[in-house]
Amino acid sequence: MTETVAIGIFVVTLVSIFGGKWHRMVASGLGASAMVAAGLLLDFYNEEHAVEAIEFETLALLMGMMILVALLRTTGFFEYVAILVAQHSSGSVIRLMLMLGLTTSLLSMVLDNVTTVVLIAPMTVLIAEFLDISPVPLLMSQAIFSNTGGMATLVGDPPNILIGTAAGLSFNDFLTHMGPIVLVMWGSIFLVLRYRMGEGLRTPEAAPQRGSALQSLDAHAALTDRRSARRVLLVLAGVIALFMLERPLHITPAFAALTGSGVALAWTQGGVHDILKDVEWDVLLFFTGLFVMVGGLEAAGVLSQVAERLLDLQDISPVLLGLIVMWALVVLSALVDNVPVTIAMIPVVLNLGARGVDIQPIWWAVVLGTGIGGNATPIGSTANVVVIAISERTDRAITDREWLSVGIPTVIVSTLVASALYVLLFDFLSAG
Amino acid sequence: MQVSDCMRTQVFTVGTGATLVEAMRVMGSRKVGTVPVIDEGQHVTGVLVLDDLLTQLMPKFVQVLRSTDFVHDYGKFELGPYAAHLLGKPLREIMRPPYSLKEDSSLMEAMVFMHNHQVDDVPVVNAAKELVGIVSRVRVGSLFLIDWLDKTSE
Repeated sequence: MTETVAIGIFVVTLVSIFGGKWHRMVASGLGASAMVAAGLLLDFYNEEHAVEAIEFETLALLMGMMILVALLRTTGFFEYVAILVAQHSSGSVIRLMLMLGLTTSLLSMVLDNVTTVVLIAPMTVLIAEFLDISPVPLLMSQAIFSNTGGMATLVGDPPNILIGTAAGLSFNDFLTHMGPIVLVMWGSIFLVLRYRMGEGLRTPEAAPQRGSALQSLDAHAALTDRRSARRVLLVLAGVIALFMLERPLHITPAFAALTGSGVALAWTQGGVHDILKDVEWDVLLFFTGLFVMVGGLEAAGVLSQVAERLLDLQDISPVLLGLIVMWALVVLSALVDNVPVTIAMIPVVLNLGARGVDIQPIWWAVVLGTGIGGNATPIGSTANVVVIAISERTDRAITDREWLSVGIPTVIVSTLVASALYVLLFDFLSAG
Repeated sequence: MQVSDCMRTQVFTVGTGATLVEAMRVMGSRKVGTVPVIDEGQHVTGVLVLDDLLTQLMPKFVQVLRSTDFVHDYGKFELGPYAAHLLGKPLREIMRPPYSLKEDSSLMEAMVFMHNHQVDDVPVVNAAKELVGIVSRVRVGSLFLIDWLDKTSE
Protein backbone atom coordinates (compact mmCIF):
# COMPACT_ATOMS: atom_id res chain seq x y z
CA MET A 1 0.00 0.00 0.00
CA THR A 2 2.57 2.57 1.10
CA GLU A 3 4.83 1.66 -1.80
CA THR A 4 2.02 2.05 -4.32
CA VAL A 5 1.01 5.45 -2.95
CA ALA A 6 4.60 6.72 -2.90
CA ILE A 7 5.28 5.49 -6.44
CA GLY A 8 1.96 6.96 -7.57
CA ILE A 9 2.83 10.42 -6.22
CA PHE A 10 6.29 10.33 -7.80
CA VAL A 11 5.04 9.16 -11.19
CA VAL A 12 2.19 11.68 -11.30
CA THR A 13 4.69 14.43 -10.52
CA LEU A 14 7.09 13.29 -13.23
CA VAL A 15 4.25 13.08 -15.75
CA SER A 16 3.02 16.56 -14.88
CA ILE A 17 6.56 17.94 -15.28
CA PHE A 18 6.74 16.16 -18.63
CA GLY A 19 3.32 17.48 -19.65
CA GLY A 20 4.55 21.00 -18.97
CA LYS A 21 1.23 22.14 -17.57
CA TRP A 22 2.80 23.38 -14.38
CA HIS A 23 6.26 24.78 -13.88
CA ARG A 24 8.52 21.96 -12.73
CA MET A 25 9.19 23.72 -9.43
CA VAL A 26 5.46 23.94 -8.72
CA ALA A 27 4.99 20.29 -9.67
CA SER A 28 7.83 19.13 -7.42
CA GLY A 29 6.58 21.35 -4.57
CA LEU A 30 3.08 19.90 -4.77
CA GLY A 31 4.54 16.40 -5.10
CA ALA A 32 6.63 16.96 -1.97
CA SER A 33 3.57 18.14 -0.02
CA ALA A 34 1.57 15.15 -1.25
CA MET A 35 4.39 12.79 -0.24
CA VAL A 36 4.61 14.21 3.29
CA ALA A 37 0.81 14.17 3.64
CA ALA A 38 0.66 10.54 2.49
CA GLY A 39 3.54 9.71 4.81
CA LEU A 40 1.72 11.22 7.79
CA LEU A 41 -1.53 9.43 6.96
CA LEU A 42 0.05 6.05 6.31
CA ASP A 43 2.73 6.56 8.92
CA PHE A 44 5.84 6.07 6.80
CA TYR A 45 7.20 9.62 6.47
CA ASN A 46 6.94 12.96 8.31
CA GLU A 47 8.16 16.57 8.22
CA GLU A 48 11.33 15.77 10.13
CA HIS A 49 12.28 13.03 7.70
CA ALA A 50 11.51 15.39 4.83
CA VAL A 51 13.96 18.01 6.13
CA GLU A 52 16.59 15.31 6.65
CA ALA A 53 16.12 14.18 3.05
CA ILE A 54 17.15 17.57 1.67
CA GLU A 55 20.79 17.56 0.53
CA PHE A 56 21.84 21.01 1.65
CA GLU A 57 25.37 20.49 0.41
CA THR A 58 24.13 20.10 -3.16
CA LEU A 59 21.93 23.17 -2.87
CA ALA A 60 24.80 25.23 -1.43
CA LEU A 61 27.17 24.21 -4.21
CA LEU A 62 24.59 25.05 -6.86
CA MET A 63 23.79 28.38 -5.26
CA GLY A 64 27.44 29.35 -4.95
CA MET A 65 28.08 28.63 -8.61
CA MET A 66 24.90 30.46 -9.62
CA ILE A 67 26.03 33.59 -7.79
CA LEU A 68 29.43 33.49 -9.50
CA VAL A 69 27.79 33.12 -12.91
CA ALA A 70 25.31 35.89 -12.15
CA LEU A 71 28.25 38.17 -11.35
CA LEU A 72 30.00 37.21 -14.56
CA ARG A 73 27.03 37.55 -16.90
CA THR A 74 26.55 41.26 -16.31
CA THR A 75 30.15 42.02 -17.26
CA GLY A 76 29.68 41.16 -20.95
CA PHE A 77 32.34 38.44 -20.76
CA PHE A 78 30.24 35.89 -22.68
CA GLU A 79 29.49 38.34 -25.51
CA TYR A 80 33.19 39.21 -25.65
CA VAL A 81 34.20 35.56 -25.97
CA ALA A 82 31.56 34.85 -28.63
CA ILE A 83 32.69 37.80 -30.76
CA LEU A 84 36.34 36.76 -30.58
CA VAL A 85 35.46 33.20 -31.54
CA ALA A 86 33.28 34.31 -34.45
CA GLN A 87 35.96 36.65 -35.73
CA HIS A 88 38.47 33.81 -35.78
CA SER A 89 36.18 31.52 -37.76
CA SER A 90 36.70 33.62 -40.92
CA GLY A 91 33.21 33.01 -42.23
CA SER A 92 33.42 29.20 -42.47
CA VAL A 93 30.25 27.74 -41.00
CA ILE A 94 31.76 24.41 -40.04
CA ARG A 95 34.68 26.12 -38.28
CA LEU A 96 32.20 28.41 -36.56
CA MET A 97 30.20 25.41 -35.36
CA LEU A 98 33.35 23.72 -34.12
CA MET A 99 34.75 26.75 -32.34
CA LEU A 100 31.48 27.94 -30.80
CA GLY A 101 30.77 24.35 -29.76
CA LEU A 102 34.17 23.98 -28.18
CA THR A 103 33.79 27.29 -26.36
CA THR A 104 30.35 26.33 -25.08
CA SER A 105 31.68 22.94 -23.94
CA LEU A 106 34.61 24.48 -22.08
CA LEU A 107 32.43 27.11 -20.41
CA SER A 108 29.87 24.43 -19.51
CA MET A 109 32.55 22.43 -17.75
CA VAL A 110 32.86 25.08 -15.07
CA LEU A 111 29.63 27.00 -15.39
CA ASP A 112 26.00 26.01 -15.45
CA ASN A 113 24.94 24.75 -18.92
CA VAL A 114 21.80 26.77 -19.01
CA THR A 115 23.56 30.04 -18.26
CA THR A 116 26.21 29.32 -20.85
CA VAL A 117 23.60 28.63 -23.49
CA VAL A 118 21.38 31.54 -22.44
CA LEU A 119 24.30 33.89 -23.03
CA ILE A 120 25.98 32.33 -26.07
CA ALA A 121 22.83 31.49 -28.08
CA PRO A 122 21.69 35.11 -28.63
CA MET A 123 25.20 35.93 -29.85
CA THR A 124 24.90 32.98 -32.23
CA VAL A 125 21.71 34.48 -33.66
CA LEU A 126 23.64 37.70 -34.27
CA ILE A 127 26.56 35.92 -35.93
CA ALA A 128 24.22 33.86 -38.14
CA GLU A 129 22.31 36.95 -39.21
CA PHE A 130 25.52 38.74 -40.13
CA LEU A 131 26.62 35.77 -42.22
CA ASP A 132 23.13 35.23 -43.63
CA ILE A 133 23.09 31.58 -42.58
CA SER A 134 20.53 29.62 -40.59
CA PRO A 135 21.23 29.77 -36.84
CA VAL A 136 19.54 26.38 -36.32
CA PRO A 137 22.51 24.00 -36.74
CA LEU A 138 24.70 26.25 -34.61
CA LEU A 139 22.09 26.54 -31.86
CA MET A 140 21.36 22.82 -31.73
CA SER A 141 25.03 21.90 -31.67
CA GLN A 142 25.63 24.39 -28.87
CA ALA A 143 23.03 22.81 -26.62
CA ILE A 144 24.39 19.36 -27.38
CA PHE A 145 28.01 20.39 -26.78
CA SER A 146 27.00 22.18 -23.61
CA ASN A 147 25.33 19.01 -22.28
CA THR A 148 28.35 16.96 -23.30
CA GLY A 149 30.98 19.29 -21.81
CA GLY A 150 29.00 19.39 -18.59
CA MET A 151 29.46 15.65 -18.10
CA ALA A 152 33.20 16.04 -17.62
CA THR A 153 33.26 17.87 -14.30
CA LEU A 154 31.68 17.85 -10.87
CA VAL A 155 30.03 21.24 -11.37
CA GLY A 156 29.33 20.95 -15.10
CA ASP A 157 25.87 19.53 -14.79
CA PRO A 158 23.28 19.34 -11.98
CA PRO A 159 23.19 15.50 -12.04
CA ASN A 160 26.96 15.49 -11.52
CA ILE A 161 26.67 17.77 -8.52
CA LEU A 162 24.03 15.42 -7.10
CA ILE A 163 26.08 12.30 -7.79
CA GLY A 164 29.35 13.86 -6.66
CA THR A 165 27.89 14.94 -3.34
CA ALA A 166 26.16 11.63 -2.68
CA ALA A 167 29.03 9.42 -3.80
CA GLY A 168 31.84 11.54 -2.41
CA LEU A 169 33.41 11.88 -5.85
CA SER A 170 35.73 14.85 -6.11
CA PHE A 171 36.28 17.37 -8.89
CA ASN A 172 39.48 15.53 -9.79
CA ASP A 173 37.70 12.18 -9.85
CA PHE A 174 35.29 13.55 -12.44
CA LEU A 175 37.98 15.19 -14.51
CA THR A 176 40.22 12.13 -14.63
CA HIS A 177 37.47 9.52 -15.06
CA MET A 178 34.94 11.33 -17.23
CA GLY A 179 37.32 13.73 -18.99
CA PRO A 180 38.86 11.19 -21.40
CA ILE A 181 35.50 9.57 -22.17
CA VAL A 182 33.88 12.95 -22.82
CA LEU A 183 36.77 13.93 -25.08
CA VAL A 184 36.27 10.90 -27.32
CA MET A 185 32.51 11.32 -27.21
CA TRP A 186 32.92 14.97 -28.19
CA GLY A 187 34.79 14.04 -31.33
CA SER A 188 32.25 11.43 -32.32
CA ILE A 189 29.36 13.83 -31.70
CA PHE A 190 31.06 16.41 -33.89
CA LEU A 191 31.21 13.86 -36.71
CA VAL A 192 27.55 12.93 -36.23
CA LEU A 193 26.45 16.57 -36.27
CA ARG A 194 28.57 17.27 -39.31
CA TYR A 195 27.04 14.34 -41.12
CA ARG A 196 23.43 14.94 -40.03
CA MET A 197 23.44 18.69 -40.57
CA GLY A 198 25.39 18.47 -43.84
CA GLU A 199 23.56 21.04 -45.92
CA GLY A 200 22.97 23.45 -43.04
CA LEU A 201 26.69 23.68 -42.33
CA ARG A 202 27.72 24.45 -45.89
CA THR A 203 29.33 27.89 -46.13
CA PRO A 204 27.32 30.04 -48.57
CA GLU A 205 29.45 31.56 -51.31
CA ALA A 206 28.88 35.09 -50.13
CA ALA A 207 29.70 34.31 -46.51
CA PRO A 208 33.43 35.12 -46.59
CA GLN A 209 32.70 38.68 -47.74
CA ARG A 210 29.94 38.99 -45.18
CA GLY A 211 32.40 37.73 -42.61
CA SER A 212 34.09 41.10 -42.85
CA ALA A 213 31.03 42.62 -41.16
CA LEU A 214 31.79 40.33 -38.22
CA GLN A 215 35.26 41.85 -38.03
CA SER A 216 33.61 45.21 -37.40
CA LEU A 217 32.05 43.96 -34.15
CA ASP A 218 33.75 45.63 -31.24
CA ALA A 219 34.62 42.88 -28.76
CA HIS A 220 36.06 45.35 -26.27
CA ALA A 221 32.86 47.38 -26.28
CA ALA A 222 30.97 44.17 -25.46
CA LEU A 223 33.07 43.68 -22.34
CA THR A 224 31.25 46.40 -20.47
CA ASP A 225 32.82 45.81 -17.07
CA ARG A 226 36.34 44.62 -17.64
CA ARG A 227 37.44 45.04 -14.04
CA SER A 228 34.63 42.95 -12.57
CA ALA A 229 35.05 40.34 -15.28
CA ARG A 230 38.72 39.94 -14.37
CA ARG A 231 37.92 39.73 -10.65
CA VAL A 232 35.13 37.17 -11.02
CA LEU A 233 37.28 35.05 -13.33
CA LEU A 234 40.11 35.14 -10.78
CA VAL A 235 37.75 34.06 -8.00
CA LEU A 236 36.37 31.34 -10.25
CA ALA A 237 39.90 30.09 -10.87
CA GLY A 238 40.44 30.09 -7.11
CA VAL A 239 37.26 28.10 -6.55
CA ILE A 240 38.32 25.52 -9.13
CA ALA A 241 41.72 25.28 -7.45
CA LEU A 242 39.93 24.63 -4.15
CA PHE A 243 37.79 21.98 -5.87
CA MET A 244 40.99 20.27 -6.95
CA LEU A 245 42.44 20.47 -3.45
CA GLU A 246 39.24 19.16 -1.86
CA ARG A 247 40.84 16.00 -0.43
CA PRO A 248 44.13 17.38 0.95
CA LEU A 249 42.38 20.41 2.47
CA HIS A 250 39.42 18.38 3.78
CA ILE A 251 36.86 20.82 2.45
CA THR A 252 33.67 20.30 0.48
CA PRO A 253 33.00 21.79 -2.97
CA ALA A 254 29.99 23.57 -1.46
CA PHE A 255 32.28 25.38 0.96
CA ALA A 256 34.59 26.40 -1.88
CA ALA A 257 31.73 27.68 -4.04
CA LEU A 258 30.01 29.60 -1.26
CA THR A 259 33.28 31.14 -0.08
CA GLY A 260 34.08 32.09 -3.66
CA SER A 261 30.71 33.70 -4.20
CA GLY A 262 31.11 35.68 -0.98
CA VAL A 263 34.56 36.89 -1.97
CA ALA A 264 33.39 37.78 -5.47
CA LEU A 265 30.38 39.71 -4.14
CA ALA A 266 32.64 41.67 -1.82
CA TRP A 267 35.37 42.29 -4.39
CA THR A 268 33.16 43.40 -7.28
CA GLN A 269 30.74 45.24 -5.01
CA GLY A 270 27.95 43.83 -7.14
CA GLY A 271 24.45 44.94 -6.20
CA VAL A 272 23.31 42.04 -4.03
CA HIS A 273 19.65 42.39 -4.99
CA ASP A 274 20.35 42.38 -8.71
CA ILE A 275 22.71 39.44 -8.44
CA LEU A 276 20.33 37.41 -6.30
CA LYS A 277 17.60 38.02 -8.89
CA ASP A 278 19.76 36.13 -11.37
CA VAL A 279 20.11 33.11 -9.09
CA GLU A 280 17.77 30.43 -10.34
CA TRP A 281 15.72 29.99 -7.20
CA ASP A 282 13.17 27.92 -9.07
CA VAL A 283 15.87 25.34 -9.77
CA LEU A 284 16.95 25.24 -6.11
CA LEU A 285 13.34 24.85 -4.98
CA PHE A 286 12.71 22.23 -7.66
CA PHE A 287 15.63 20.24 -6.25
CA THR A 288 14.35 20.68 -2.70
CA GLY A 289 10.92 19.36 -3.66
CA LEU A 290 12.48 16.37 -5.40
CA PHE A 291 14.70 15.58 -2.40
CA VAL A 292 11.64 15.53 -0.15
CA MET A 293 9.71 13.37 -2.61
CA VAL A 294 12.51 10.88 -3.12
CA GLY A 295 13.01 10.80 0.65
CA GLY A 296 9.40 9.57 0.81
CA LEU A 297 10.04 6.95 -1.85
CA GLU A 298 12.97 5.72 0.16
CA ALA A 299 11.05 5.72 3.44
CA ALA A 300 8.28 3.71 1.77
CA GLY A 301 10.88 1.10 0.89
CA VAL A 302 10.51 1.53 -2.85
CA LEU A 303 14.12 2.28 -3.67
CA SER A 304 15.57 -0.58 -1.69
CA GLN A 305 13.22 -2.87 -3.59
CA VAL A 306 14.52 -1.51 -6.88
CA ALA A 307 18.02 -2.26 -5.64
CA GLU A 308 16.89 -5.73 -4.63
CA ARG A 309 15.51 -6.37 -8.10
CA LEU A 310 18.75 -5.24 -9.66
CA LEU A 311 20.57 -7.64 -7.38
CA ASP A 312 18.35 -10.47 -8.62
CA LEU A 313 20.28 -10.03 -11.81
CA GLN A 314 23.14 -11.26 -9.61
CA ASP A 315 24.50 -13.60 -12.23
CA ILE A 316 25.34 -10.81 -14.59
CA SER A 317 28.84 -9.41 -14.52
CA PRO A 318 29.50 -6.00 -12.90
CA VAL A 319 30.33 -4.60 -16.35
CA LEU A 320 26.95 -5.62 -17.73
CA LEU A 321 25.18 -4.26 -14.63
CA GLY A 322 26.86 -0.90 -15.27
CA LEU A 323 25.87 -0.95 -18.93
CA ILE A 324 22.26 -1.82 -18.12
CA VAL A 325 22.10 1.08 -15.65
CA MET A 326 23.65 3.41 -18.26
CA TRP A 327 21.29 2.41 -21.06
CA ALA A 328 18.20 2.53 -18.86
CA LEU A 329 19.16 6.04 -17.74
CA VAL A 330 19.86 7.18 -21.32
CA VAL A 331 16.29 6.25 -22.25
CA LEU A 332 14.77 7.66 -19.04
CA SER A 333 16.58 10.98 -19.17
CA ALA A 334 15.72 11.45 -22.83
CA LEU A 335 12.05 11.21 -21.88
CA VAL A 336 11.93 13.02 -18.54
CA ASP A 337 14.02 15.63 -16.76
CA ASN A 338 17.30 14.01 -15.75
CA VAL A 339 17.39 15.68 -12.33
CA PRO A 340 14.51 13.71 -10.75
CA VAL A 341 15.87 10.57 -12.43
CA THR A 342 19.26 11.17 -10.82
CA ILE A 343 17.82 12.03 -7.41
CA ALA A 344 15.78 8.82 -7.44
CA MET A 345 18.69 6.74 -8.71
CA ILE A 346 21.14 7.80 -5.99
CA PRO A 347 19.48 5.90 -3.10
CA VAL A 348 19.14 2.86 -5.36
CA VAL A 349 22.88 2.84 -5.98
CA LEU A 350 23.61 3.45 -2.29
CA ASN A 351 21.36 0.48 -1.50
CA LEU A 352 23.31 -1.67 -3.93
CA GLY A 353 26.46 -0.57 -2.13
CA ALA A 354 24.99 -1.53 1.23
CA ARG A 355 24.39 -5.01 -0.19
CA GLY A 356 28.04 -5.43 -1.02
CA VAL A 357 28.14 -4.40 -4.69
CA ASP A 358 31.14 -2.34 -5.84
CA ILE A 359 29.23 0.82 -6.74
CA GLN A 360 32.16 2.94 -7.91
CA PRO A 361 31.72 2.01 -11.60
CA ILE A 362 27.94 2.27 -11.28
CA TRP A 363 28.22 5.93 -10.32
CA TRP A 364 30.04 6.59 -13.58
CA ALA A 365 27.35 4.71 -15.47
CA VAL A 366 24.78 7.03 -13.87
CA VAL A 367 26.81 10.11 -14.84
CA LEU A 368 27.10 8.95 -18.45
CA GLY A 369 23.52 7.73 -18.77
CA THR A 370 21.87 10.87 -17.39
CA GLY A 371 24.28 13.11 -19.30
CA ILE A 372 23.95 11.45 -22.70
CA GLY A 373 20.17 10.94 -22.70
CA GLY A 374 19.43 14.65 -22.41
CA ASN A 375 20.54 15.28 -26.00
CA ALA A 376 17.91 13.08 -27.63
CA THR A 377 14.74 15.15 -27.38
CA PRO A 378 13.83 18.85 -27.40
CA ILE A 379 12.88 18.59 -23.72
CA GLY A 380 15.72 16.24 -22.70
CA SER A 381 17.71 19.02 -21.05
CA THR A 382 17.10 22.61 -20.05
CA ALA A 383 19.79 23.77 -22.48
CA ASN A 384 17.74 22.29 -25.35
CA VAL A 385 14.63 24.05 -24.13
CA VAL A 386 16.53 27.34 -23.95
CA VAL A 387 17.97 27.28 -27.48
CA ILE A 388 14.58 26.29 -28.89
CA ALA A 389 12.95 29.20 -27.06
CA ILE A 390 15.57 31.57 -28.46
CA SER A 391 15.13 30.20 -31.98
CA GLU A 392 11.40 30.88 -31.69
CA ARG A 393 12.15 34.57 -31.36
CA THR A 394 13.89 34.57 -34.75
CA ASP A 395 12.51 33.72 -38.20
CA ARG A 396 13.74 30.13 -37.88
CA ALA A 397 12.19 28.18 -35.03
CA ILE A 398 13.71 24.75 -34.34
CA THR A 399 11.03 22.08 -34.85
CA ASP A 400 10.69 18.90 -32.77
CA ARG A 401 11.30 16.84 -35.88
CA GLU A 402 14.47 18.77 -36.64
CA TRP A 403 15.74 18.17 -33.13
CA LEU A 404 15.00 14.46 -33.12
CA SER A 405 16.68 13.95 -36.50
CA VAL A 406 19.93 15.19 -34.96
CA GLY A 407 19.42 14.31 -31.29
CA ILE A 408 18.63 10.63 -31.67
CA PRO A 409 21.64 9.73 -33.87
CA THR A 410 23.82 11.79 -31.51
CA VAL A 411 22.59 9.84 -28.51
CA ILE A 412 22.93 6.46 -30.22
CA VAL A 413 26.51 7.15 -31.24
CA SER A 414 27.50 8.64 -27.89
CA THR A 415 25.94 5.70 -26.04
CA LEU A 416 27.91 3.28 -28.19
CA VAL A 417 31.14 5.23 -27.67
CA ALA A 418 30.53 5.57 -23.94
CA SER A 419 29.68 1.88 -23.60
CA ALA A 420 32.79 0.79 -25.46
CA LEU A 421 34.99 3.02 -23.32
CA TYR A 422 33.15 1.92 -20.19
CA VAL A 423 33.99 -1.69 -20.95
CA LEU A 424 37.58 -0.90 -21.93
CA LEU A 425 38.24 1.33 -18.92
CA PHE A 426 36.18 -0.69 -16.45
CA ASP A 427 39.10 -1.50 -14.15
CA PHE A 428 40.16 2.13 -14.12
CA LEU A 429 36.60 3.31 -13.41
CA SER A 430 36.29 0.80 -10.57
CA ALA A 431 39.45 1.95 -8.84
CA GLY A 432 38.35 4.98 -6.84
CA MET B 1 -6.80 71.11 -17.45
CA GLN B 2 -7.78 67.94 -19.20
CA VAL B 3 -6.85 65.91 -22.21
CA SER B 4 -9.27 67.71 -24.55
CA ASP B 5 -7.33 70.95 -23.90
CA CYS B 6 -4.28 69.65 -25.68
CA MET B 7 -5.45 66.93 -28.05
CA ARG B 8 -5.09 67.17 -31.80
CA THR B 9 -8.51 66.77 -33.41
CA GLN B 10 -7.22 65.96 -36.88
CA VAL B 11 -6.44 62.25 -36.54
CA PHE B 12 -5.03 60.14 -39.35
CA THR B 13 -6.73 56.78 -39.18
CA VAL B 14 -7.32 53.68 -41.25
CA GLY B 15 -10.43 51.51 -41.43
CA THR B 16 -10.57 48.00 -40.02
CA GLY B 17 -10.46 46.62 -43.55
CA ALA B 18 -7.23 48.42 -44.51
CA THR B 19 -4.05 46.51 -45.35
CA LEU B 20 -0.83 46.89 -43.45
CA VAL B 21 0.75 48.59 -46.45
CA GLU B 22 -2.04 51.21 -46.59
CA ALA B 23 -1.55 51.92 -42.90
CA MET B 24 2.21 52.23 -43.39
CA ARG B 25 1.62 54.69 -46.24
CA VAL B 26 -0.57 56.84 -43.97
CA MET B 27 2.10 56.74 -41.28
CA GLY B 28 4.87 57.63 -43.71
CA SER B 29 3.14 60.39 -45.66
CA ARG B 30 1.55 62.07 -42.62
CA LYS B 31 4.65 61.65 -40.48
CA VAL B 32 2.76 60.28 -37.50
CA GLY B 33 3.95 57.57 -35.13
CA THR B 34 0.52 56.22 -34.21
CA VAL B 35 -2.42 55.36 -36.46
CA PRO B 36 -5.69 54.31 -34.77
CA VAL B 37 -7.63 51.61 -36.59
CA ILE B 38 -11.38 52.41 -36.49
CA ASP B 39 -14.65 50.79 -37.54
CA GLU B 40 -17.61 52.53 -39.26
CA GLY B 41 -18.92 53.76 -35.92
CA GLN B 42 -15.60 55.57 -35.22
CA HIS B 43 -14.73 53.10 -32.45
CA VAL B 44 -11.06 52.28 -31.99
CA THR B 45 -10.48 48.60 -32.78
CA GLY B 46 -6.70 48.67 -32.67
CA VAL B 47 -3.65 50.91 -32.74
CA LEU B 48 -0.74 50.68 -35.16
CA VAL B 49 2.48 51.95 -33.59
CA LEU B 50 5.53 52.98 -35.61
CA ASP B 51 7.91 51.40 -33.11
CA ASP B 52 6.31 47.96 -33.61
CA LEU B 53 6.90 48.21 -37.35
CA LEU B 54 10.47 49.38 -36.92
CA THR B 55 11.17 46.54 -34.49
CA GLN B 56 10.06 44.08 -37.16
CA LEU B 57 12.49 45.65 -39.61
CA MET B 58 15.46 45.36 -37.27
CA PRO B 59 17.75 42.31 -37.23
CA LYS B 60 16.39 39.58 -34.95
CA PHE B 61 19.45 39.60 -32.72
CA VAL B 62 18.31 42.95 -31.35
CA GLN B 63 15.40 41.07 -29.77
CA VAL B 64 17.48 38.39 -28.11
CA LEU B 65 20.45 40.41 -26.83
CA ARG B 66 20.43 42.68 -23.82
CA SER B 67 22.71 45.20 -25.45
CA THR B 68 24.12 45.60 -28.94
CA ASP B 69 26.35 48.59 -28.29
CA PHE B 70 29.28 46.63 -29.67
CA VAL B 71 27.75 46.59 -33.15
CA HIS B 72 28.90 49.69 -35.01
CA ASP B 73 28.43 48.55 -38.60
CA TYR B 74 25.00 47.23 -39.52
CA GLY B 75 26.23 46.53 -43.04
CA LYS B 76 23.71 44.55 -45.01
CA PHE B 77 20.86 45.38 -42.64
CA GLU B 78 21.02 48.99 -43.88
CA LEU B 79 20.58 47.95 -47.50
CA GLY B 80 17.47 45.87 -47.94
CA PRO B 81 15.29 44.51 -49.28
CA TYR B 82 15.16 43.08 -45.78
CA ALA B 83 12.25 41.46 -43.92
CA ALA B 84 10.14 41.66 -47.08
CA HIS B 85 7.74 39.13 -45.54
CA LEU B 86 6.39 41.99 -43.42
CA LEU B 87 4.49 43.32 -46.44
CA GLY B 88 2.35 40.21 -46.58
CA LYS B 89 1.29 40.34 -42.92
CA PRO B 90 -2.28 41.37 -42.08
CA LEU B 91 -2.75 44.65 -40.22
CA ARG B 92 -4.48 42.76 -37.43
CA GLU B 93 -1.30 40.84 -36.64
CA ILE B 94 0.87 43.93 -36.13
CA MET B 95 -1.58 46.36 -34.52
CA ARG B 96 -1.96 46.57 -30.76
CA PRO B 97 -5.27 45.91 -28.99
CA PRO B 98 -7.32 49.13 -28.67
CA TYR B 99 -6.48 51.65 -25.93
CA SER B 100 -7.66 55.21 -25.41
CA LEU B 101 -8.16 58.04 -22.94
CA LYS B 102 -11.43 59.87 -22.37
CA GLU B 103 -11.58 63.54 -23.41
CA ASP B 104 -12.16 64.58 -19.81
CA SER B 105 -9.23 62.54 -18.47
CA SER B 106 -6.80 64.65 -16.44
CA LEU B 107 -3.31 65.43 -17.67
CA MET B 108 -1.85 63.43 -14.79
CA GLU B 109 -3.93 60.39 -15.76
CA ALA B 110 -2.70 60.74 -19.35
CA MET B 111 0.94 61.04 -18.23
CA VAL B 112 0.72 58.01 -15.98
CA PHE B 113 -1.05 56.01 -18.71
CA MET B 114 1.70 56.81 -21.24
CA HIS B 115 4.40 56.00 -18.71
CA ASN B 116 2.89 52.67 -17.64
CA HIS B 117 2.03 51.50 -21.14
CA GLN B 118 5.20 52.85 -22.76
CA VAL B 119 3.32 54.71 -25.51
CA ASP B 120 3.85 58.19 -26.94
CA ASP B 121 0.41 58.85 -28.41
CA VAL B 122 -3.02 57.86 -27.14
CA PRO B 123 -6.32 58.07 -29.05
CA VAL B 124 -8.97 60.15 -27.25
CA VAL B 125 -12.64 59.09 -27.23
CA ASN B 126 -15.89 60.76 -26.11
CA ALA B 127 -18.54 59.33 -23.82
CA ALA B 128 -19.97 57.32 -26.75
CA LYS B 129 -16.47 55.82 -27.23
CA GLU B 130 -16.10 57.55 -30.61
CA LEU B 131 -12.66 58.77 -31.64
CA VAL B 132 -12.46 62.55 -31.24
CA GLY B 133 -8.72 63.23 -31.15
CA ILE B 134 -5.25 62.05 -30.22
CA VAL B 135 -2.78 63.29 -27.58
CA SER B 136 0.96 62.95 -27.61
CA ARG B 137 3.33 62.73 -24.68
CA VAL B 138 4.86 66.04 -25.76
CA ARG B 139 1.50 67.83 -25.92
CA VAL B 140 0.34 66.52 -22.56
CA GLY B 141 3.72 67.04 -20.96
CA SER B 142 4.31 70.58 -22.20
CA LEU B 143 0.84 71.73 -21.16
CA PHE B 144 1.34 70.10 -17.77
CA LEU B 145 4.74 71.79 -17.35
CA ILE B 146 3.40 75.27 -18.22
CA ASP B 147 0.46 74.76 -15.90
CA TRP B 148 2.69 73.51 -13.11
CA LEU B 149 5.15 76.43 -13.50
CA ASP B 150 2.28 78.94 -13.44
CA LYS B 151 0.78 77.44 -10.31
CA THR B 152 4.07 76.90 -8.52
CA SER B 153 5.60 80.31 -9.16
CA GLU B 154 2.43 82.17 -8.13
